[in-house]
Amino acid sequence: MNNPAPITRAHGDERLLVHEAVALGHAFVSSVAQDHGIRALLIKGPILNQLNLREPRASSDVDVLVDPARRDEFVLLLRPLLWVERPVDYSGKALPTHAIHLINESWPCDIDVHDHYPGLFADKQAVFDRLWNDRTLATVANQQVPTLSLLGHIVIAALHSLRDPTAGRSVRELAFLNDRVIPMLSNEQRTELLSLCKQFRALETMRPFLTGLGFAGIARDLTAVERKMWLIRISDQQQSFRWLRRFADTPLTERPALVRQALFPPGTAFRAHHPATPSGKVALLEARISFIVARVAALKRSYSLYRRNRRL
Amino acid sequence: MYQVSSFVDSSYCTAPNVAWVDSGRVVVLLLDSTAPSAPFVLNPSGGEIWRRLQRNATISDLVRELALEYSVSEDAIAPSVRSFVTELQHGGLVTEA
Repeated sequence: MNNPAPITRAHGDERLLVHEAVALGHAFVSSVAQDHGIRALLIKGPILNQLNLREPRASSDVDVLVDPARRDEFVLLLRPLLWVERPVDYSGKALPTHAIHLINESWPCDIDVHDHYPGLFADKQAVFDRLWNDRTLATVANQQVPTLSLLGHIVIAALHSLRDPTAGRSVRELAFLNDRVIPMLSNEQRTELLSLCKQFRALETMRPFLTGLGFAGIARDLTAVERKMWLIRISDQQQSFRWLRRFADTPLTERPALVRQALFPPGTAFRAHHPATPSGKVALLEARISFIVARVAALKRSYSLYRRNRRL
Repeated sequence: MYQVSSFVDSSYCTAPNVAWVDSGRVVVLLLDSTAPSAPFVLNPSGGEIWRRLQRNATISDLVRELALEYSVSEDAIAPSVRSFVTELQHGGLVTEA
């Protein structure tokens, strides 16, 4: 038997693995929130695996939905604990982003702090209060953490796939919900799910899923503007749309700088958003060229969409 | 036979504010919302002790079981086991049950 001492901090050769970090991160986030009396619900991730709401897979982030009234305070509390905001996407953010992404250089995962979830168009405080009232507990990293009810999780899991409907993983996970989860739901649960979507103003955004549940004639519950915003979000052109809108809102004299920032971000910012870029200047240059080509192509594709919807 | 007369032969349990995972190796995190806290990675022997602590084993239980499993004398491993558990206790990771 080897000598068990000393125990070592996770660093150097003993770095945390992603799945370890995600599990421990759940307990950490929940603990900070609880210590400060902030309501926080851990969502998605390993809890979806536990609930058999998707094929088991490793998650790369900790997702937490925080009381909207205290989300910013919560983010500030994490700062002295070395969790800081990931640099904002240099393409700009005209449309609201749905989470603040926190990173810690010693941890191989982000903490995504949400105060609402895309596709739920009701007042975010009302949505959170309902989800909190329905909460359950899950055990992650041998700690109990507050999380969504089963039906709440189904709504979030479905929306997660529906907001990116053409991605392979979304297609697979939505099919899993349809084929494996829906058949397990009782009639009462189906009715309650519909009621939840109604309260959350998510009937239209959840329509493909609700139709699979057997509900026909789903009512429209979005305004014209909200509907367009959702359609843009679920298209693959969201980021380009955001940038074009920001570009249009920028004074002429500042536009060259904006273009430079979008196409030639600083090396550190570029690597932060493209962590797979190999080390070395040549690799960085090659990655930059690919990025510029892709971004210009995306802008060209998005321009007509932007022209039709620029007043959103 | 290793004697435990020189210290109280307590059993220990994980402190309530400790999260841990075991996916082949044990990684432990002290949940502290007042200061940065990095996880501890236990080496394989430390992991073995940690798992047995979850069953409320006393120090003498630990020594006896580990000696049997690794075919070593209890006297040979007792100081290391005791030292390790003491370190866990000082780190706030375990408490006396």
